[in-house]
Amino acid sequence: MKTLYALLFPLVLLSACTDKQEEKPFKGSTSIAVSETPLSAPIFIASKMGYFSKYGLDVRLERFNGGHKCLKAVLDGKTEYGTTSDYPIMINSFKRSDYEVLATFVSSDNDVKLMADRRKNITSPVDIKGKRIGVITGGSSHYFLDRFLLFNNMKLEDVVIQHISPENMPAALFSGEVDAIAVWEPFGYLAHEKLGKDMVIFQAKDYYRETFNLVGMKKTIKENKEVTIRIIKALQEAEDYIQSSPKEAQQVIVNELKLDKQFIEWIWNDFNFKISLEQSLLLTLENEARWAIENKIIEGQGIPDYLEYVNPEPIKDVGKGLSNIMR
Amino acid sequence: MYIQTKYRIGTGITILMGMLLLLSVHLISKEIRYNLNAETQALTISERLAEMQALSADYIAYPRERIIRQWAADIASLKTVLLKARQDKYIDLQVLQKLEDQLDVMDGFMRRLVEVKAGGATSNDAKFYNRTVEAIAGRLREEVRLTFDISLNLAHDHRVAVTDYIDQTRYFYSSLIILMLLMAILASIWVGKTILAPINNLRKQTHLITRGHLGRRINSDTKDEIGLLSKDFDIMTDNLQRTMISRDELEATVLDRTREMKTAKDLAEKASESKTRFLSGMSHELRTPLNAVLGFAQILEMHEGLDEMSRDSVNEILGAGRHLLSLIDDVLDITRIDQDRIAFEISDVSVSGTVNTAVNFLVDTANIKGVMVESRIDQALFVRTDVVRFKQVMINIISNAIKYNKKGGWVKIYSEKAAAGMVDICVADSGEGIPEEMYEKVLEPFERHSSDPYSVEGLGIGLAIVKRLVDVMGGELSFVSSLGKGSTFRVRLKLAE
Repeated sequence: MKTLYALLFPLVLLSACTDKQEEKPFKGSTSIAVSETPLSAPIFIASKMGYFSKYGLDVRLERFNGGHKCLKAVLDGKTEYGTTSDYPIMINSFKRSDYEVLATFVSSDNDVKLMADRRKNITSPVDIKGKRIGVITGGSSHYFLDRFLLFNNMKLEDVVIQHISPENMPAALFSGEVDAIAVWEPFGYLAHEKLGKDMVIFQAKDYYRETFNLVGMKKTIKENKEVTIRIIKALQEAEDYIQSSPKEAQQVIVNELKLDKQFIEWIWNDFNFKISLEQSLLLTLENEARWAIENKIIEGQGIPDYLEYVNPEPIKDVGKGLSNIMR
Repeated sequence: MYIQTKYRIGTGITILMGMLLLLSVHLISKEIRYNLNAETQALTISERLAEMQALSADYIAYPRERIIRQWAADIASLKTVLLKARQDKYIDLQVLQKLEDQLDVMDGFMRRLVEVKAGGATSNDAKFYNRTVEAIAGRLREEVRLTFDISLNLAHDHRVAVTDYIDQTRYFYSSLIILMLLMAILASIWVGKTILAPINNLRKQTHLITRGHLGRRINSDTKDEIGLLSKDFDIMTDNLQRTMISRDELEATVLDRTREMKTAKDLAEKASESKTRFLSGMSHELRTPLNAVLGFAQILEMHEGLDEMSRDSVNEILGAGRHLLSLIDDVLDITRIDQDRIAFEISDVSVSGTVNTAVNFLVDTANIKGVMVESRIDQALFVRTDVVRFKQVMINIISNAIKYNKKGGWVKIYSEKAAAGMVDICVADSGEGIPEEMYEKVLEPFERHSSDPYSVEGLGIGLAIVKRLVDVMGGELSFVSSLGKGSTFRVRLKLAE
């Protein structure tokens, strides 16, 4: 018996000395409105690879065509969480303040592109002056086009803006309904597929940096902080998987979104998968808000305080260095 | 396995673990140092970017030439820092590349802003100018902030790496210490079972064996030094047990013999005592009538009217009576000595005087026998003894030397210095000598060493009396003899002071 105690003693000591925190058993269910874009890759991979389940979450994914629709689903209470780009966050910030950004899980400075039909004698930025350009008015493509024109010494009035829904953009460009389009992926790729050599893509990587974010209602997050933390942990693991196994991660997205593998290869390097919640997002939102007011996209008196629209607490609970926002 | 082998294995494991520990300390401290160095470099970059953030804000608000120069200097400085950081293999090159790209983007926006601002003065479209400036400034702010965030994240990643290493180190060392503790306990149990327990058993059994439990054995089944020692110890105990049994048997035999001998001795002593009493009694009984015979014979001798034949007969009676009386006196002497009834008066006695008296007493006997007696004793030589008994000793020895001599033989009496405070009075003769087989018997009473015991007068107790008297006087009697050549008797006595 003494020998048994002598052998057990070090093991007890070992368990006391190691402070490795084991994941507590947890059972929870939630829903995420996810945009059907490769930007949502971490969400799809977390679901497909079982990272949500690993953290005790039963996650129902509701798919939408665009981040703005996902945010709407959240705001309408159809899902508890959603994925959206920064632009819809800015737009809605003028109407309500009961939602908040929890994390940015990807950014891209080349998701929204300006693509033109070479057959319309467009080969350089200045050639688009006076041309018909398809945009989603009031959306990020509109914002991007304005930035593009400004940086090339033009203004929105120098072109003819034509509202076209994103899914119709490739066809509109191919049919000649418009001379150029400002659209996000995968519609840019589809347009490129249609036009082939006749497609001109303008290098405008630095004009607009788009982020894709996890959002939720403040009330829901307050009541389900543990669920939020676990979603972020699952997304963090998904991003580790993307970094360590990019080919496999791409294959997951190809399968999930029924996309062409070549398309994924086309856009993948533009994505910067890193979960964080940075001050730069606030600046992006402020810039967008300033533009939206100037261009009367929204009717607002002043720029909202976007510090009220971010909640760094859950992500800081996952890792203190993941956010430098102080609230 | 031998204890020595176990000891070597234990030492080897300890040294190996020590080396592993040292190696781990070296590797971990190296990792921590490099990560801290990388963090420091990342924080340096962050500091510069924070400064550039302030510079860009300044320029947007108040465009000045000095700000542009400072900006250019900061960009160049940061690129140098980044270039240097590339030498550090611990810093993620992708992040460094990202920072370099971001610097180019930031610088591009700054140059565009400077360009626009410079052209702004001539621009007719103020609104367009302001919007352009605002758009570029906004993007500049965004990118500077983003770059700053990247550098902060880089610093944070290395800080986390350091923290992780510290945590891992703590975990590693905790585990190592626990492992060592566990090994120490196992080693202790192992040593206890394989070394201490057999030693303890050996000690316990040894203790019992020393207490007389010779039937106990170690019965060790280990194959190490203790096992070998235990086996040898068992063999030794077997031998000891056998020896002890033999000793007990021997002791019993000795006891039996001793008992028998004691009985025999007691019987002999009783017999001797009876003999002595008998001899004493008989001597006294003989002496009385003998004295009467001698007394009447002497009266007759003094009678003048005796004829020749009667006188010869009286002389014969006197001679035989005196001889008989002498024999009876000898017997009485030896019985007195044996019964411790003889008294001594110790004084300084002249050796030459005593020897001359004895020689004179025996001169007739010597003349009759045709033996020349020669005494060469220093007149100054005195010994501590009883004068009467010393004379008796010398008479007996000289008498024997004459008796057992041959016609024309000689007897020489002389002295020799012996050990400190002692002197030897020697009586040498040219007689027949004593056979070797008689050496031990010659000093015993009633033992005669002559080849014909009846050819010489006496009972054979003269030397026995001499031996006893010398012993009682604190001296020593010894002799050397050569058969056919003669003997030398040596009386060792204490010199007078």
